[in-house]
Amino acid sequence: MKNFMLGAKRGVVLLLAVLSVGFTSQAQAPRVVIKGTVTEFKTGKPLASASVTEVNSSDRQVNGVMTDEEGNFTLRIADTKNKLRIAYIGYESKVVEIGTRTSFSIMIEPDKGGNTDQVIVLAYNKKNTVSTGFTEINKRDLSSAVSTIKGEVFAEQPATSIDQMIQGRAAGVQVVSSSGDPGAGIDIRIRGASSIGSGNDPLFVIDGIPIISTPFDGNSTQTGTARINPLADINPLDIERIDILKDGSGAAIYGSRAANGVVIVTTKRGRKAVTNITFNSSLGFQEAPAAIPVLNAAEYKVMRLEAMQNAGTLNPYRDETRAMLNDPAYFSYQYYQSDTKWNDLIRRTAITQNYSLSLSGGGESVKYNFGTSYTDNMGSSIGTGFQRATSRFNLDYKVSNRLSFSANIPFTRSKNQGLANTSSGGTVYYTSLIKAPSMPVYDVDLTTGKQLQDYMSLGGIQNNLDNPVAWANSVTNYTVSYNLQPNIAVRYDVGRGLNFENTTSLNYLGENGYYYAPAIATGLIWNDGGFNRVQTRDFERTQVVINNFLKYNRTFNKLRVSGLLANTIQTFKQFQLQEGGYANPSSEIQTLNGPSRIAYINTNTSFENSVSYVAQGNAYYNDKYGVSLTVRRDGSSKFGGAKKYATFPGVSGFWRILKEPFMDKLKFVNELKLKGSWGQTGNSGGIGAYTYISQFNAGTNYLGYTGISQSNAELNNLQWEVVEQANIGLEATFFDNRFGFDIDIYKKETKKLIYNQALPSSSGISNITNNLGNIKNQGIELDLQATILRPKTRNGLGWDMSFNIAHSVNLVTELPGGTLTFSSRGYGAFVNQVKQGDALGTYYGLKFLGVYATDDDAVVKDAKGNKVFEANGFTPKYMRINSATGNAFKGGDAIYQDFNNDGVIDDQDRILIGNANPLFFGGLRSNMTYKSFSLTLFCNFQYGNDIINGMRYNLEKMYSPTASSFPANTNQAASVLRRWRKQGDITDMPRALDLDDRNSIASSRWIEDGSYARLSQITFGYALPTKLAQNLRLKGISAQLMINNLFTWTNYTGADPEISISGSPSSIGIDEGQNPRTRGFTFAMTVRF
Amino acid sequence: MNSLAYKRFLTTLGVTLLLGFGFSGCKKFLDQKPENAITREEFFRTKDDATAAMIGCYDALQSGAGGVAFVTQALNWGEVRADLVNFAATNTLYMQNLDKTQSYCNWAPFYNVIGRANLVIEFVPRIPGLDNNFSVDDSKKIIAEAKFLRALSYFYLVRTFKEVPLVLQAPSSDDVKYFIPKSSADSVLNKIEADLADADASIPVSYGTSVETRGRATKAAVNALQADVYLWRAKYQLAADAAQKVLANNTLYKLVPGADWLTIFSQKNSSESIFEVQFDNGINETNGLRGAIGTTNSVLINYLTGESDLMRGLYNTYAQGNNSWKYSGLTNNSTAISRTGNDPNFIVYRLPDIMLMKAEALVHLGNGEPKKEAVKWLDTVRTRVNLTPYDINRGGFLDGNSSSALMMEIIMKERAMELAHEGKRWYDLMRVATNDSMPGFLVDRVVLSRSVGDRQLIKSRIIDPRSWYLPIAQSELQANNQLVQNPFYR
Repeated sequence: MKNFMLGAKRGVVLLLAVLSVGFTSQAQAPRVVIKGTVTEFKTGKPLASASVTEVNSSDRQVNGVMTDEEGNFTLRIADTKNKLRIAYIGYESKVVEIGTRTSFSIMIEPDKGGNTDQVIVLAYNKKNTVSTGFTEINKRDLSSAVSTIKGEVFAEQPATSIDQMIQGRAAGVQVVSSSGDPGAGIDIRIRGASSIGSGNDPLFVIDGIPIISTPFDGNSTQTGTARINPLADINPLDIERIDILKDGSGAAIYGSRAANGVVIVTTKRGRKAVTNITFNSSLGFQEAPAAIPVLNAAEYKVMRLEAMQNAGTLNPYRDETRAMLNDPAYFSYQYYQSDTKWNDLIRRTAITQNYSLSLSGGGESVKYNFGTSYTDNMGSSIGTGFQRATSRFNLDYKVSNRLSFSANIPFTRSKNQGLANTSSGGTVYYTSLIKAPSMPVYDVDLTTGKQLQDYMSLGGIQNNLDNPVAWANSVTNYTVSYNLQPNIAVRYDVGRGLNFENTTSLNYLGENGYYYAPAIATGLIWNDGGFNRVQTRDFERTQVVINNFLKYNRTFNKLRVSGLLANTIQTFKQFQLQEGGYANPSSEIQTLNGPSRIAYINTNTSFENSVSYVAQGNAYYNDKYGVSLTVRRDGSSKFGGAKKYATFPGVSGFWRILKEPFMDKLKFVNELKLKGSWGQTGNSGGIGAYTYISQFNAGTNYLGYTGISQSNAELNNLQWEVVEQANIGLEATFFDNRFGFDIDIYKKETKKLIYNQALPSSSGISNITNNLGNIKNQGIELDLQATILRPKTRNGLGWDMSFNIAHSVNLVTELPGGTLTFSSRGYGAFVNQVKQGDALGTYYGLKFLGVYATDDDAVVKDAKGNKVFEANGFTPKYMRINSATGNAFKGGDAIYQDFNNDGVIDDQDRILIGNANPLFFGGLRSNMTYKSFSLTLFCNFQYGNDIINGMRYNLEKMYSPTASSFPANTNQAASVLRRWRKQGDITDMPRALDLDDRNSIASSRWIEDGSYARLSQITFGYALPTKLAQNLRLKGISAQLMINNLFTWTNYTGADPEISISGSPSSIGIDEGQNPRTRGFTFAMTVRF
Repeated sequence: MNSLAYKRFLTTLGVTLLLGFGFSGCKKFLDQKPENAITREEFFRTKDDATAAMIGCYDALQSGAGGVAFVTQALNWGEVRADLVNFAATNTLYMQNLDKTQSYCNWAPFYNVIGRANLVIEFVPRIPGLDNNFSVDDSKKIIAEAKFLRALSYFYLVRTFKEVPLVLQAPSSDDVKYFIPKSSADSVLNKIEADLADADASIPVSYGTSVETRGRATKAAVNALQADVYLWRAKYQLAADAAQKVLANNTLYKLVPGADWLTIFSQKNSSESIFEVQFDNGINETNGLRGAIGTTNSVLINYLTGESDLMRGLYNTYAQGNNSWKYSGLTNNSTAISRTGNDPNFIVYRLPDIMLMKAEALVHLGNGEPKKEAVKWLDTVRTRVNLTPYDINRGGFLDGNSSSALMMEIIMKERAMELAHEGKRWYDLMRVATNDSMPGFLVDRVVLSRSVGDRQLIKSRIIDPRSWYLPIAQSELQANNQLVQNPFYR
């Protein structure tokens, strides 16, 4: 750290040095200020964002400014002998003498297809640039694959989080939130999962600074507690645009952090104009999620009795049996006489509110954009909610023509209330579905059956299964986070095309978590050590990033070159403190001051430093050819010795075919550009800060002495996972830019996968992190835009549509040893494995063919269909499970395909039965405007992926492993009413059967097609005509009504086909019973003063 | 901009970049050290580090790896397949119905000890150069302890699996070869002998406290293991010599009076104890030995009843509930448990074991004096618990010319009565059956101990001596493509 402080001091010295240079030049500032407007020739339409530059006699730019929304500009000029050049994309540029005039009215004409070079060079139109984080580049010059989502798209959608804004908008970018809870985590996959163990989350860059975007990844002993998702800290209304760097060349500028792509967020900045005040408020309602119908108490009891009978455990002396029989002599009889609809009691219609106020404006030298917002989203499950207060202050200060500063100071406080998993192990949502409906919500008097005041919190026949209603209402579980991301940038125009820029930024993210489970929720009594429990945690992450850039930009006749040299220093500190205690004397004391037993206290600190050097060079010739080269060299404290540094190169180029003479005849083509790129990026997300260092820990004691033993081996060979990606794309627009498409084909290969490989136990250690194997993602992405109706007048009918679709194929191409097997995620023990030649996310299991109607049907048949007999020649040989001596299948049991015809259903009959990767996915947007009205539809879709319906597994398996172990005596879905019950029943639902899981083992029975198309948003908007607004002394007022998730077309039988893709890529696409997304409507209003 | 300002800027920039690059290039910036752990560079520097690392090795005997405890596994391997315990027919190890998926095949706890011992053996020798208070001789003592533990672990492995990977390199970095094929039983046993010879040369006779002397490797522990290894390899003279080294130290190792026989187990670290894996409920060190091996088989009950062995069993039920009487904390003849903590020690060697090992070696060394001495050691064990001597001169029927077969029969019976449920019996049966070329010695005894209905099945499963070794666990075969399954299970 000492070195770092020293470095910071040097930075200050530098800053002062740069400042002094800047002030010197300010002294020479000119005094003449000119004003003017730029309008379109003939129509007189004001042109916003046109470039107005002062050029000297040697045709060099001296000063420049852009017109505001009304086409006005103000420019302080250096010399009245110079000329003004006005440029606007798609228009002929125009040069005007200045002379003694101070007021200009300039009209320019649309380009007639002539030489637009100059326009391209000079036009600086925000709408046509793409941010790469480090720099901005004109979209015309782009040669790598970048998807852009523009601010106006956000305006039509009152979203409260960034994931809702990205989902379905960019081809090849898969966005799934982990549940329907407000503030829930988001998973973003750009061009498929490319890593097994290093994470698949893209890098997020806001205003040039990489931010902490993932949930805390330290070790947590508090698994069920509410988590913070830092991406939810961004107020969408602050966002100007989002650019997503998808390919290797584009992302190479971020080198070792960019393997999963880069999402670049640009926030709104002030513009030179009078102050704009915008107030935005919205109020919404989210429906309670649709219930999965479950058995009522009577049906439940019959089903349970059948399960026992079929297992031979029906015994009138067992509590489990007696609870299902209506025998008032049973002493707990009154506990089992209710008919509770548990699931209904934990759901509600939720209200969401959002208020946002922004001020923006600026003058010649200062521009500002200040925004603040407050969001309060209830969750549609009782006990969930999300509150957020954000503020952002973006300031640009132009000290002189050469020196400028900008500062961005965002601050967010979020509070995320989640439902802690019940102590019996499931989500509250899941527990509410399986809790016995015969049990009451509130305790009852055992003799009279009268309802008492307290929650019924004993598990009863369901052992430790908690009361979900008590849990949802009485457990406190929230996390408050403080996210501060200030950064300051200094820019200095050295002249001769050279610019220097320094950005210094801090990202502080603190989380305070609190969890309290009272005895009424845990169901334990005072003499149990864990009868109530309190947990708190403090997580802190601090990141400092210092960037130095040197940018160069010159034009030599038809050749334009630009370059970038950068140096980035980054430090990252992670701290955690976790405490937990049990047994407070009273539920009135809910802090750690009370508990009689402190269960654990632990802290953990880690530092991670990195240094990077970036060089980028671009050359463009005649707007026809362009080439870009990027090299980034990264050094990281995460790696040891010779592996500390790695180099990540990227190269790309374009050829604007449109500029070829043979294209001249095809006048209807407005753009035709072929681009290609190749690049390498790195990933080290899966490893901790000190993984490579051999570490020893105390705690291995003997004879009362403290022993120390090795916790991990030294990793001399561990290095970055490398993603190598090649991309070829074609951009085209036709018919007066009314139709256009972007198509990209890519091949993305992950090499040297970082994986914590299990070692043979003979090695004496269990795992070693190393680089092994390759994964390949290949795909094609298509973006289409069409302006179907272009309004002829301001009040005319306009209709434009955009559509994107992506197809990708994932393949594990190389894996030493062929297969990596992971511990089973349950649901009948699906084999979670990554296998060479498979995609990440494939499932293996048995093939389910139906249900044996009779015992006789379960007899083994030979190839000719004749019955097979045992060795004695007359006993029929039945199909058996696991081994030749395993349990025999009977009527009502699942039929599995016996691939090897050995009469035994075992591992050898497991085949590949599912793949979680969609064949294609994308989105469709339609926007119609007429007069002051607008209607926007947005639909996202996914096709061809499989889901393990874990919820259905849990709700249809009708099996308890033993009477006592969880999940015992669970309620099941109403669909089990069609179960097999007697010989000859023909159904697809096996019989209820305790103690034997033969009918519920991993098989195609649980796999479903996860394809869906969702009308995720309909927005109906109205903006008061300007004149009327002005009568109200307002600049504008508009209102929107948005309906989200109105329809979902899917064959998936679970609550929501949008399944989290987080976690190990070997086990993606499992429906684990998270709260589903719900239908809701929101009314929003925006007032501009 | 005038060119002066331009030049000034460039100079400033140049200096800045140099500074910046110099700063960022600073090596320390990218060399971060963990705050919550000791790095290997910081460890293995002092005398205390050497001791702490060694304590870590012993801890591996207490704990385990791969979800299995060392002592439980050792006890299961040595006892459950033999004839002195009783299990339900659902116990696959008891039913000799073995396959590679069972946790009985998990050898991880033994290699965990070996791995930690290998680290000590590799890194402790560098400490004398760094710490003046730690001489080369001091380092040899620590290394001797590590070699003892490595030898002990390999001895369990070689007796249980026959051929196993012989891992001698510390698991210290990713440059180490981790996928190691099996070595022959002979080369493993040779390495065990060599390790023990090294250990014998440097290991202390005793430690500061008596608990340490019973709980850490000592010269007697090394010699006891040597005797056991030599006996296993039918090197009878060497075995007798090694056992004699232990027996010679009669000041440190004395038999506990017969009346206190149960205190050997309940009070732990008795005067006859040579090496015990220590547990202490007081510091949360407990184990599952109490319930690991079920109740007592009628074979053993018949031995004890037939001999009217009042000290070692007859007063008791041989079990407390389903717990073996040696691990349940019984201190006297009542059925009341006086030691409630679930922390019995696992006794690896105690004096009667050595006496009977010596007797066994002597029987194989010929008629006359050797056999006479064998009878002497046999009777020492018996008379301690008030049983009648075998010596013809003391009213018995054995002398220097008695048949070897008869004497082996008697020694094995005595071992059963003395050492039952201590994880010895299966290896005893295997050793005699193999070295004396009479497979029936194992097969018949095991078969007879099982219920009548199961005998045919049990016999079919163990008639092939290759089946006496366990299969290599499936997880291990998956993780290490160099391994080949043991012959019986291919």
